Amino acid sequence: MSVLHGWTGLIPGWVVFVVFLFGTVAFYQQEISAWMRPEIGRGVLSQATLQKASRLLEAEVLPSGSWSLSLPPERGGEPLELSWQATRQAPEIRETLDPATGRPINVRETLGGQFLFSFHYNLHYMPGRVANFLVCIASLAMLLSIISGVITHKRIFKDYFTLRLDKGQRSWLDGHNVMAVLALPFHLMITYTGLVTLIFLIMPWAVMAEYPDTAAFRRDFRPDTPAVEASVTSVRGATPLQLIENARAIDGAQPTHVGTHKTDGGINVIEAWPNLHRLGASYETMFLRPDGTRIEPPAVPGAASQTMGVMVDIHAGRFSGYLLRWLYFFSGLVGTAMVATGLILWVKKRSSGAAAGQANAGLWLTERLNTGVIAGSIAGVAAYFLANRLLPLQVSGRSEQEVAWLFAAWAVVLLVALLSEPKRGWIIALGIGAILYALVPIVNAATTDRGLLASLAARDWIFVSFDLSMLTTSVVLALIGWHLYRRPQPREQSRRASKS
Amino acid sequence: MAEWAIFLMSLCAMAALMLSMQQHQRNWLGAALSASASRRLRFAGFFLLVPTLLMAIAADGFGSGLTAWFGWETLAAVLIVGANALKVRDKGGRRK
Repeated sequence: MSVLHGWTGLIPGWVVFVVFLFGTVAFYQQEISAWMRPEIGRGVLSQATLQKASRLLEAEVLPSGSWSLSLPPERGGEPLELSWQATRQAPEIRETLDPATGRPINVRETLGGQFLFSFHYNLHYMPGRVANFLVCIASLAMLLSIISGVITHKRIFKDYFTLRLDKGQRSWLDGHNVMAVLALPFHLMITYTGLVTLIFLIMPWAVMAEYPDTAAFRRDFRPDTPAVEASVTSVRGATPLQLIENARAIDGAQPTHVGTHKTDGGINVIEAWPNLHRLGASYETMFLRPDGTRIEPPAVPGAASQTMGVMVDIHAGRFSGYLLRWLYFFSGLVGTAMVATGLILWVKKRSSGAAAGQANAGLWLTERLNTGVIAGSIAGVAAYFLANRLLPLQVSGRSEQEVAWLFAAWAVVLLVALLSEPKRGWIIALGIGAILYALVPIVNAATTDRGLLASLAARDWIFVSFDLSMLTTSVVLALIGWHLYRRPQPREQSRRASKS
Repeated sequence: MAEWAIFLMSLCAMAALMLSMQQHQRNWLGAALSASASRRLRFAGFFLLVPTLLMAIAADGFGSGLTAWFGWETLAAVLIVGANALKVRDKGGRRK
């Protein structure tokens, strides 16, 4: 069991670390998006803005054109976006409004927090299917690691509160155990529900047995075109504002998108996307006649589908209020640290066994890859934020360049780790991370008028929390680096610990 | 408000549970407690967890409350572990 735990931990461990790190950060993807789109002012969507958008669409396109209206989620991060085509041949016109004031704004091109979220299961620079598959395998290994870890850890209750510092390998083991055990319910929940989000990839057989092709299955699972009576084209249209109200009345929450539905027959149907930031929300698109009455869905989702929906909601903490979201984030950090300590422990355990100078190539590489992946991905996130502020606003492919900055910083740290002796590599890598994180609030203050002091004065808690989180991360990375720098010979200590 | 109560009571519960263990008693109290005192502390620790769970459920409903409760307990336990680790290290330092 111990061997199983060691190997199921290491091989996919780097992927799991990255998934945990980015997934944890993604609990705040909306807030991160808000920070990365500083052009969107403070405040939530106002009724006045909705009315303005609605009147604009009425004047420009109704009753015959196509239009769409994307509403920002409650936690912000996105503007109110309109687009319309007065006739089929007319060019599509887009307008972006500030949710609170309703003023037209020019938002910088960025993927925002959405990229950090999607990276935790789609990865990057590879086809999504391949990435999903890798993440699936890693998550399965993680589940196996959690279970085998609980079995291997014999003193689970005796050592519940035990963390012995400055004892080399013993400290790493204590830290790994404590972080695994104290947040065990979270680790199990997040890994299991994470697998559920990719269920059709890891357990496709039931679907394969019932459906000849995936398209047919998808049509049944999430039907997206309603069977519409042809007469709907003739009914009198409601205003976009009324349609939003009707969708809200049907679903119990503000829809995230309302617009004309594009069908082949040119039938005029309105679609409304449900608000997913709730527990057990319906994932089905709602369809309305132009007068705002509902077109009844062909089928309600079955129990299995609803169960899956709820599990995904629990995974993403979609229902979380302000405090629960911090607790999710905190537990995620504990999970990230658990994976990191496990990876480091793997090396410590084997290098303290082997006599100095006899270390093999695998160990040599593992030790450096640990530094490169752990410190590198952390530093990359800061580089992503810096790129958001430093790249020229009009540069083409801006959002992809931001992503490139993330991986460039990561690659630099990986290179440093591969080229230096491990301890030195860690110190430099952590130093790079600390500097990058410290730069984020400084660059933010220099390039926007929403620096830390201005945000404090305006009681803009999202920006204040963001900048303070950057500074905290910087200090933590610097402290770990400083601790390593001051400590004389970690190898010596770990040998002593393993003898005692 | 309810959240503060949940958090502080969870801290007390975790502290009591830690102090009910002999190895930690020596670090914090100087000597090991009697078996019956340890048992009472353990009972008090577990007993305190009950109202925290009930308060979390009362504040947030069963599903969200239970989810949040696990988070609060993790947070409290991590803080107690941190305090314990620093205490042990300080004592070790002084002995040298």
